[in-house]
Amino acid sequence: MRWRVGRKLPAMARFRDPPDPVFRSINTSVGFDRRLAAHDIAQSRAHVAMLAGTGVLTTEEADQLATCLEQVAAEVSDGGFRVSPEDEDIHMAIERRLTELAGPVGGKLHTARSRNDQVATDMAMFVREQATSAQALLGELMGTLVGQAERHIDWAMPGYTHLQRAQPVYLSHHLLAYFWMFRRDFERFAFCREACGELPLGAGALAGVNWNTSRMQVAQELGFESVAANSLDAVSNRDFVLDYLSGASICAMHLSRLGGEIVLWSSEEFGFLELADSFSSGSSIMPQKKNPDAASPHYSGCCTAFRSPTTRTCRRTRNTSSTQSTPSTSACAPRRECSRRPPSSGMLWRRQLETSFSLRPMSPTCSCGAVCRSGKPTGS
Amino acid sequence: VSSLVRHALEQQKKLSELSAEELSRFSDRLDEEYYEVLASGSWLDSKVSEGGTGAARIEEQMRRAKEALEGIGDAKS
Repeated sequence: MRWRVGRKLPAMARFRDPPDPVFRSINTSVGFDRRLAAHDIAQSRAHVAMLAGTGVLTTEEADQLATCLEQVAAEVSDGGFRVSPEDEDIHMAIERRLTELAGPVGGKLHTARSRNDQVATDMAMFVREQATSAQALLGELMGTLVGQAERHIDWAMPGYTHLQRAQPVYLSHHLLAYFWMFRRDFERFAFCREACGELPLGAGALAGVNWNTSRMQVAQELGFESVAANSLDAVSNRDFVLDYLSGASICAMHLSRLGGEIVLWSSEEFGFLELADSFSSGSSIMPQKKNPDAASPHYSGCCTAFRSPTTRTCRRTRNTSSTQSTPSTSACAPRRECSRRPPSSGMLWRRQLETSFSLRPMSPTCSCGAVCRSGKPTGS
Repeated sequence: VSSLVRHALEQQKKLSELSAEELSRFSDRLDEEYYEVLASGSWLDSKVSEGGTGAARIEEQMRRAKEALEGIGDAKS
């Protein structure tokens, strides 16, 4: 059985009129919070176990709920999960589906919790997962940078200020500058994970719940360090989201700097490096070009550097060159469902550095112009 | 030194292409060492300060980077 269109949900029965379609479209969040589904099910699983452990649910009830939750989880992961038009958010959608499968006992899942502490918990789990994933990608990128620095340890190159040749530096030195930037980013994501460490669940709507629940049991089950000490703070805290966004923005800025340099260095004017064919695009009417698309900050999507791996929408842009006569589409590209999951930018950067950083040996006469004549690998 | 650079630019010569006679017009202190400094990679390796681009310091930095990388491996697990 599914909710019929127009049926009033129990919580809305105090209203005489059904929600206006416009209000409903404003109020719904299921379009974007569906990516919390796996976390929502995981926390429900832990919640059910705790409710059984503290005697709020019988073992039979808990088993039945757990079995049906697994079925919902399977539907979510195989793409078969359907959201009903009445589902305001992913929590409601999952509980609705669970009740379809389990019958009235499904309603007991929501004992001793509210969507307020539930969504705060989902968010903390989601952000922690994203921060962990960003750290893993950064770790790989940092490893690649160290490897490339080692391979180019004594390659001399000009260092610039104001795009004027200033003093010579080793390429390894230049690359390691990025290593330290990304290390700081790594630390910021580590801090973000810590900030997600207190479990909100059990705070209820805002004041606590009427059962003496074991929040620490849920915390341990879900990998939280501790439980939030204040129920009001627990349900309203989203500081960790801002921590993540801050870390991601700074990291994207660092990636953008690196991308900008790859673009500059692979230009005919600089000629410091040649990108691998496998990371370049061409132009049918300008065959001399070898475009460093993937390194161009507006192409590689520094703004989506840590795109959620569960997000299936991607932006497609073409010809965002600032010199073209048609308006750039980068800012207003239509979102379109993409059947292939786009590679994360973090992975893209690592692959690009690995495969493309075959630098051209510098001309022995020109690396630093009038100042430096050592423009070649000094070891050779 | 700045007059020397201006002269080199006007003559469209690199600093290392200036003759000893030209050098002497700007300073009586510039001798053979002038050419040695310009001809070698010593400009890079003269940056001996901590965190600088000199080869010894880069080796040091490389060690620190690898340690940091190992630390990261521990933090992730």
